[in-house]
Amino acid sequence: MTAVWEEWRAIVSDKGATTVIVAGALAYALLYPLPFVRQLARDIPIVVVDQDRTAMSRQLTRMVDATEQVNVATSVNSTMEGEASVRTQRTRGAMVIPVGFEQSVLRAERTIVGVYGDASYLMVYNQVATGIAQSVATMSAGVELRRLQASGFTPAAALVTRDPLPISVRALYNPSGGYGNTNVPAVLILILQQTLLIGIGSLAGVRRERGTAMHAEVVEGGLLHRAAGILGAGVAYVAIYFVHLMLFFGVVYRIYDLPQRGSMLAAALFLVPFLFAVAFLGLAISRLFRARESAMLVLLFSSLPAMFISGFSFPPEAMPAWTTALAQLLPSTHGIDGAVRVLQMGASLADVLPMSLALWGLAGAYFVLAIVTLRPEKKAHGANGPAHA
Amino acid sequence: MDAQPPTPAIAPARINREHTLGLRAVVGREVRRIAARRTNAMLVLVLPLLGWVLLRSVFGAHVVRDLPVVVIDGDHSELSRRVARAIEATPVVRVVDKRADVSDAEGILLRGDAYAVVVMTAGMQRAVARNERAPVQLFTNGQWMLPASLITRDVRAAVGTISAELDVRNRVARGATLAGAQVSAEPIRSELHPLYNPALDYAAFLFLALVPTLLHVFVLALSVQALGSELKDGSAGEWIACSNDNVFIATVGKLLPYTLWFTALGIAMVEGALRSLNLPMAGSRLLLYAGLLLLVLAYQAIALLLVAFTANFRLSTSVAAFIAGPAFAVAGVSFPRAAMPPAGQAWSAALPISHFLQLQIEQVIADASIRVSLPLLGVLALFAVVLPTISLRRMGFVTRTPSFWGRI
Repeated sequence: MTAVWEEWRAIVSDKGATTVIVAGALAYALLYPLPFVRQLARDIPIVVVDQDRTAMSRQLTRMVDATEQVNVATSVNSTMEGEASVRTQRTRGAMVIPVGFEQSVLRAERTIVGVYGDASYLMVYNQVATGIAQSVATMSAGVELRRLQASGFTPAAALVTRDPLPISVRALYNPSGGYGNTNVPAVLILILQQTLLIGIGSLAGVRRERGTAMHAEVVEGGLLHRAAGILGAGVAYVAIYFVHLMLFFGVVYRIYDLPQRGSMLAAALFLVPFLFAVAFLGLAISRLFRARESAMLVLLFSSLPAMFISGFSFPPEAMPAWTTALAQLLPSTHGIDGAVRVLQMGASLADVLPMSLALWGLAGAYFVLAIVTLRPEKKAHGANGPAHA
Repeated sequence: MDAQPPTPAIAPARINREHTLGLRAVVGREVRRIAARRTNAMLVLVLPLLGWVLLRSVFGAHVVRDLPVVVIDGDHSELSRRVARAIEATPVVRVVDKRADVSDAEGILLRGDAYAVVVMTAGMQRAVARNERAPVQLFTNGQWMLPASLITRDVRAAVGTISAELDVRNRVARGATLAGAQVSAEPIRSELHPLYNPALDYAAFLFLALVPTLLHVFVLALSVQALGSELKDGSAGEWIACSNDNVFIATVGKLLPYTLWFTALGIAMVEGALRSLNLPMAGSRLLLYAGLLLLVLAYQAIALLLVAFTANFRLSTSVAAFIAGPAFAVAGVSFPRAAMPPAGQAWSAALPISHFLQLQIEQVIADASIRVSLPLLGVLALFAVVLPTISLRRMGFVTRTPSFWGRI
């Protein structure tokens, strides 16, 4: 119990640690979602190359313009002009309606509409392709239904004949396909991990600079004494971060209107071993940091790789085995996976049992590692003055 | 901060012999400082390369395959098996379980056994035979966006093909010619042409964008460290003295080794990424690498601004972390800048890395003309010139005022 208080006192009495652990974590969580509030790229400007100039080509142009994905910024006559418009980035895509478009449709021939999208940005291309292709498909289906009805089908029968095996697609848990809805919850978990690691690391750096190892009396005591001290420090961090969890889920989720199908409390409970795993990991590696700033530098760098190997933005099925194995050692990999399932999707704690077990396993392993790495150093501490990182 | 001591001229009007000697002395001093610390070698060399290797392996596959999908076949008919086979034959899907029950469809997604579930209900084949519609249902986990969209695209295509075949067969049975039936089955067709990235290889594109992003973290953090540690250690006076008491020369000399090293490292890392991805360079290498140099200078300028105005190493490190940490998400690569609210757009535009990544995409992938990309170089240059201009006088004051030293 004294260890808990002592760690708290250390955090509060050091401005740097307070900045990262309290102000940094909360400011980050409050600001990060801001750019993504609109969730999707809408009304992306495109150019229509209308080589047909008929009632039907104008109707297709209007249909495309009416979609939420794209916006017809300009209509030109030649492919040259259309290409120039995309190349100079005035527009991000083009729809090319060929000469004889209406005539082909009336003569019951097939005609092809060209869809060109700037594919150097994934979301831009997807929206352009979806907006145009869906409008074309709708118009095509209308033409086909009219033809079928003209040849004696009832409207209902025509619908069946046209597409006997229709596919109905439902994207569960994020029906609007919003980017912020999926990205922000994962990043919030990563923010918890990285700020806690940086906070513990810089506090260790400060102690190192001042020549005091992690609470000298704990480290110099016996094995059990050390274990108790590390456990106490872990409890201190987990308690602070549990409050963060409540603020993230209760306040940040509200402000940015993020979907929440599961219970906040269940998600927070699921994340308790995550917090312990992160805290013990931070303590276990804290000896590496000889100055306050080195923790910041090293752990800031690790944020990007940690995000991408977690398998959240890019599927682990596409990664080599050693990368996915490395990812298993990071609490964020399991924490993100499980917390998203519980909070966003409404999974029960039983559904995410494998992730819970992995997190408890990591917590235990890093606890043992911390006991080993924080054993007393041979030389008298503080003898060599402030060390450089 | 009352009576300011008179500060000498900020930037020398003419470089004379004294300046050259001062510059040489400061550069030498900085190189010795770097060499004296073991951790620095790790920070400037090992970690960037480690990050490169790790990210390369994450995005190494180019194409995503074998995403687990569960097919629940309630019909057990020739048709339903044909649909299941067609889904299994698509490149991105790996069917992991064919015996699951429909009541467990949601559990499969919640537990993460699969990214998507295909459901075919009993009576599907009979319905089609009776000329009724028999929908195939696809439920995807929309929280995992990339797998969901890839699976949707391929499953939709597979089922659509079978549906069109049934339609054509039906019409031929009613006496239409095969060619006539095929045309009337889809009178207007759209043909997709992804520009600049015909293979839709996003793994490669993300990796390429992450390389300079990784670099900028080190440039900013190490420049802050180089400048700020002089205040923290109380060695600022000695540093300025080394430059013959000229803060401009002192700053340039201190940052120059990092500028050269990180520009060279950046070029090597980008070049290595292009080679290992087999990405041809569509535009101008010269323009891209000029941009990289300006990117390094822009972040060194930000470091100077932070240290000069906070006069506090710890605080400037924290602010630097706040600037560099979320930069990739805000840069506009994965989420377009045009779709952000005004505050988000301003945030994005305030980060030099956003402009550089746009330049990189334009030059490497889209083969943009120099006229299109030149303004981006201009913006980066603006950061590199304006920020030092407003920071140097203050930096001179801070480094000559011992009360600012050793405050952490």
